[in-house]
Amino acid sequence: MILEINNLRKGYGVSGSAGYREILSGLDLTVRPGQSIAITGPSGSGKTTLLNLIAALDSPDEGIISYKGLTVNNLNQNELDEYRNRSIGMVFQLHHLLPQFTLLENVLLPTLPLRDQKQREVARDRAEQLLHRMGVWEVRNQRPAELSGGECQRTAVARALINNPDLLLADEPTGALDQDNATLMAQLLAEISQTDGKAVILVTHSVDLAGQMDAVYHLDRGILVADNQTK
Amino acid sequence: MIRLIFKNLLFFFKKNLTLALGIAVSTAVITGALVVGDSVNQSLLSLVEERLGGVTHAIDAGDRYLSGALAERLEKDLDAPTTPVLRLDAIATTGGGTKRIPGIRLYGVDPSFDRVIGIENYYGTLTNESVIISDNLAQRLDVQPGDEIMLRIRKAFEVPLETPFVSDAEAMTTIRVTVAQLADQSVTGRFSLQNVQSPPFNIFISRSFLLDRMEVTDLSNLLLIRTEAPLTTNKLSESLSRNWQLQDAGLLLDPEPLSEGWMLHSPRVFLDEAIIRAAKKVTSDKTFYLSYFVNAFQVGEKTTPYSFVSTLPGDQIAPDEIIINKWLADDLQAKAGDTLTMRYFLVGPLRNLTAEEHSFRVSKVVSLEGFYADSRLMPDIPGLSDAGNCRDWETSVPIDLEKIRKKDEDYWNAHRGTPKAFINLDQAIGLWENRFGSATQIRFPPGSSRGELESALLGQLKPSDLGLSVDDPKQTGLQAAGNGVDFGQLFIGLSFFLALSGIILSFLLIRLNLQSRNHHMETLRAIGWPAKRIRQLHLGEGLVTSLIGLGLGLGLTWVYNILVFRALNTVWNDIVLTDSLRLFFRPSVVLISLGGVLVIAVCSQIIVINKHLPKGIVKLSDQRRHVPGRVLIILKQLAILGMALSSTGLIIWQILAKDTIQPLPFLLAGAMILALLLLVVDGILIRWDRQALNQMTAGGFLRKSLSRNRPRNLSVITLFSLGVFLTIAIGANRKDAGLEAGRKDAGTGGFLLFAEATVPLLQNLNNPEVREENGFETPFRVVQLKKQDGDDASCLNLNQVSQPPLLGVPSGALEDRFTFTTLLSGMNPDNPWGNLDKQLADRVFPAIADQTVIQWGLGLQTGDTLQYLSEAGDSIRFVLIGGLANSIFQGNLLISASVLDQLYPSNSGSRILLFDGSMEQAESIESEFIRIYRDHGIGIEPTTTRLARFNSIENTYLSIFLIMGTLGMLLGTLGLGIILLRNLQERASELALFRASGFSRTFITSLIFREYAILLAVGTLIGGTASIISVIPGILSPTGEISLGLLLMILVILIGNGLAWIFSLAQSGIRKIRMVQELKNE
Repeated sequence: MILEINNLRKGYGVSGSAGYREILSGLDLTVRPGQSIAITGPSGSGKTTLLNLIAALDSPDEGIISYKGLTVNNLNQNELDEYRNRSIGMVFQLHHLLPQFTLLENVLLPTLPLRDQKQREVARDRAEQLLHRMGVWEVRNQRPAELSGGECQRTAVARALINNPDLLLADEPTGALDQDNATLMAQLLAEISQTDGKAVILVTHSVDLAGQMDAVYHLDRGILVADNQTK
Repeated sequence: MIRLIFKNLLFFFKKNLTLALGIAVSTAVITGALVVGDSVNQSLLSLVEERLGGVTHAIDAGDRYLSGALAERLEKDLDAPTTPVLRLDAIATTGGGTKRIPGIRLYGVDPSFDRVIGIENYYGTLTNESVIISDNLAQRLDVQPGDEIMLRIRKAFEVPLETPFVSDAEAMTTIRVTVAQLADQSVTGRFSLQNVQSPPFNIFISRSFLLDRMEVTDLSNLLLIRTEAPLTTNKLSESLSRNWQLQDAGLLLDPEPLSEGWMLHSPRVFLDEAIIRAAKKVTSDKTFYLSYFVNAFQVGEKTTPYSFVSTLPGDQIAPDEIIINKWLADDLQAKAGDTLTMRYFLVGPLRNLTAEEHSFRVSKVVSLEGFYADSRLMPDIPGLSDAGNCRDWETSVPIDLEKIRKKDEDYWNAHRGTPKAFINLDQAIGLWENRFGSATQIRFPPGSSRGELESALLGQLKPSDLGLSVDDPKQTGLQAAGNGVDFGQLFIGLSFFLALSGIILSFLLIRLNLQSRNHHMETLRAIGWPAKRIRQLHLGEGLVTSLIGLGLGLGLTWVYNILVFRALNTVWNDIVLTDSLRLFFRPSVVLISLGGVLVIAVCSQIIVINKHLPKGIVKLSDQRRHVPGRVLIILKQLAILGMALSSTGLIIWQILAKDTIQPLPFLLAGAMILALLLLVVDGILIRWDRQALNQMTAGGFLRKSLSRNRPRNLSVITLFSLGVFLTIAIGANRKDAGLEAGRKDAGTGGFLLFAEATVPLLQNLNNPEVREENGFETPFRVVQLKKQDGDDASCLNLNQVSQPPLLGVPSGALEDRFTFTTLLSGMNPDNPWGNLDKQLADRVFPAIADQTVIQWGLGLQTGDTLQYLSEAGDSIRFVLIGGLANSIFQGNLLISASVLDQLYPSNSGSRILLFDGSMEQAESIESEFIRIYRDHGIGIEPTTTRLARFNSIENTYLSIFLIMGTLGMLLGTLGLGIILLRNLQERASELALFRASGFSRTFITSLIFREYAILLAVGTLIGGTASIISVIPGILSPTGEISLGLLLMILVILIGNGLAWIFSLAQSGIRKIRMVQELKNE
């Protein structure tokens, strides 16, 4: 397994107080390498919270998140930084590309801490490949403000993949896109999973997008329930 | 709308409060500076009232004396209280000589002084030895009422001390007085007619007691008048002309028994040229006489010593002929036709004697009877004419008593100074005319009464002809104070960078506030609000915020002024030299400056609102690239080229120019280089913005990030570079008087010591005989200068001055000394001092002053003229032919000594002495000089100390500028902090992305720190480079006046402070990143 989640609990507010609200209530999940799964659910059900916990952007109240046998909860700050930088790639609902950089430069941003020239050159080649693959090669020297939302979001996917992570997390990546771009994005994520053998966890409201993943889970009242109609 | 404005104000409370604080700082600086200026001006005006009391007009006799009765006549004529004052110079000693204060003004006053001053039973109560002294002098002497003071006084001596043959042996007297009271400003204890704010040392004593002690009757040299009615100086002059008498003109009209006519003579020995001119106009017949004391007559081997010679008109004796009396003929065994040689002294300035002789043919021998036996032809020379016998003679010329024979004593006893010989009047004038006059007596034939003759004479004479000046000191004082140093402008200038920082900061805050609310404006536009209404909403908010800022600023202004005034009365007292400055919070000044700040704040907001107001509903985002147009780029490049060429040209021109290097072109070149470098940085940022990165390196990331907010980052760089530039360029000009002080071209002129005497020295100290006589042992050279009093024009005086003191420079005495910064064209540049001996036109003479005095003290420039009145009442002009670099002469006007003698003949002796000698012997020279001339009230100090005192004012101004500049820089750092904080807020999602991408906190902090440290470093580097250009004159100056230690320290503190801000803000900003929230939504 590339990812194993056991009994994951997360709530907001002071535990035991009237204002406390539990979002995830003992959630379990396992993901194989190359598997793509979609997580659906109503707004506020905890989809993004789950993704943030997996990406170690937030910490759980209880439970274990294990990446390739490594308990993410137990990692120190340096190991967490390493985990975020090398092991996972993340795509957000909004692209979060930096306005002062071109698309190519934005893709290269996660390689900023690299000190080795060879590694940088490798990263550069990979960035070019990814830009080709995402269909934004022609506009690589443009800045985000000059491009469409779809182009920017595809660039964000390329940025998420620049360090060749084994797990790609995508939080509503088509939320701000039109239908055509959303479809294109769905195909791209499915292809990454199938061709590159990367595990993809996708949080979405879109049934069409979810339908293109290997498995679909529905998150309701803090519990993850498998959708039987998935592939 | 109003509710919405207030809701917004509350919702954006923190942002609005920050803006209000920015405006408060600007308010405090600008209003504070204006209040300081106004308070200093009001204080100076109050000082005029306090130093003059009720005195509105004054008649100043200078070195002459008026009768006290004249005051009574004027009082009746003007119907205004008038009082006679006898003003003398004195030296006070206490503690058995341990404390000695020179330069004291002793005022002999009558009870009527109280009426004129405007108080009751105060000075009028003074009797005998009791004195009232000014509180500041009491503090210096450490005396209380009841204590005794010894006063060494320069006596009221009617004869100018350099008058030939007059001895100064009796010129001084000592009296012991008892302090009755201490007088402060409330009782006009600091009375002074001089337009100077620094308090004088005054002692008030009963005039009648003073006259008694000096054995003179009813003399005064100052009449003070108090009148509420309008009285012009012309009207006062007319009244004076109506009421003065011959006695007030220093004249005596006595019956002449031989002819039963009248003889006019003067206690001043010689009759002034003005009197001679007036007498010539009187229709009555008159005969002029010039009697002179000669050393010897010689015929063959026979010699007769020490005799008086008088004159006869041209129709009675031809030139080169001499009539001798029988006594002399017998003594010399001379007869008509013999050749007689007459030996005599000519007495020059500082009693320099020149031995002369002239030969005559004896034309006649006359009996010692009638006119030829008239001893009244001998002038009244104190010490000579009143001596009981020849051995008691006290004169300013050496008398060899060995040569005086018994027969000479007998002649003196029988005939006093009856002239033994008579020569042609015109020839006598040719031989003996001097600056005091060309006659000693005028005789009028019988036929006119005394009254007729007196009124005829006075009818031809104006008081101003004899140097009596009529003035309205209150009006001129108020005018001088009103036009004095504008501390408002000065403090605005000194606080310029602080104010600018405040304004830039406020502008920045307004801009940032509105930028952050772009989307609000867009929403309002989207829901149909017209642009005008949105503008009103934001302007309303801005107005309320500005008013809150003004309110807070008013409180800060109060604190600012309290601090500045405390500093002015203590640590910055160098620049005001008075302890009487008070804070005036005049509503008009405060309201005007508050209005000004409000206008600036509101205008800034209008500009920013108009710029940021959305034109449509399309989002105006920072993400749009602001690409400058091609034309703008070309214009910028041309500007860079132009400024590079101009600044280089200016520098080369100045370095190659033969003239003295001027600081202004270098300051200008520095400023141009600053602008040029800023444009270059702007160009680099544009270039970086366009460059594509092939790899993501930290350097590439920083370049891109810096170019992202180009205008904002450039404003931070500008603020810092300007701060550093101004701090170094102006602060580096602090002067050190000790540097190269021994050089002749330094501000010390290479002299060791500068001395000023309260009582003038009548001897030439370079004369070996004088030195030996006085007991000088240490070798030295000295330059002695005469001083004609005036208002100090140095930077020690805050009042505007039009007639600074005149210093007479002996020809050649200062050759090759000091440095000229300016010299009028047409003057000889090889010997600038030599130009002083030229006469430029009739009554127009050259003058030299310190360039700072010309520029700031007088508000003039080289080539301009200053108008004075000579002692004879003639209007004379001095053309400023040259300006000296910062020197020990600051505050004075330097003219030729011979011109000073010619214009002010009564001015006797030297008061300024410049000693030259070996550095090791400076102390010996000083102590010997003080010991020998202690009764002259000597103030002596090393020239470096004097120069340092002047420098300290400039240095204090520079210190204030540095303090204000440093505060401005700190404010600039605060601006940098705000921008950094703001940028961190704006870049929160970017930083969260970095964290999400696995960048460590340390790595992100280091990126952000480096980014802003670069701004600081570039700003400092640009400012530093430009400032080095601007301080080149200081570096190249022969006196090397640059002191960089303090500046470096300030810069290190400022940069350290900036870096600390950047580091702590970057660290806390990054620690606060909430990844989940920031990445969830924008």
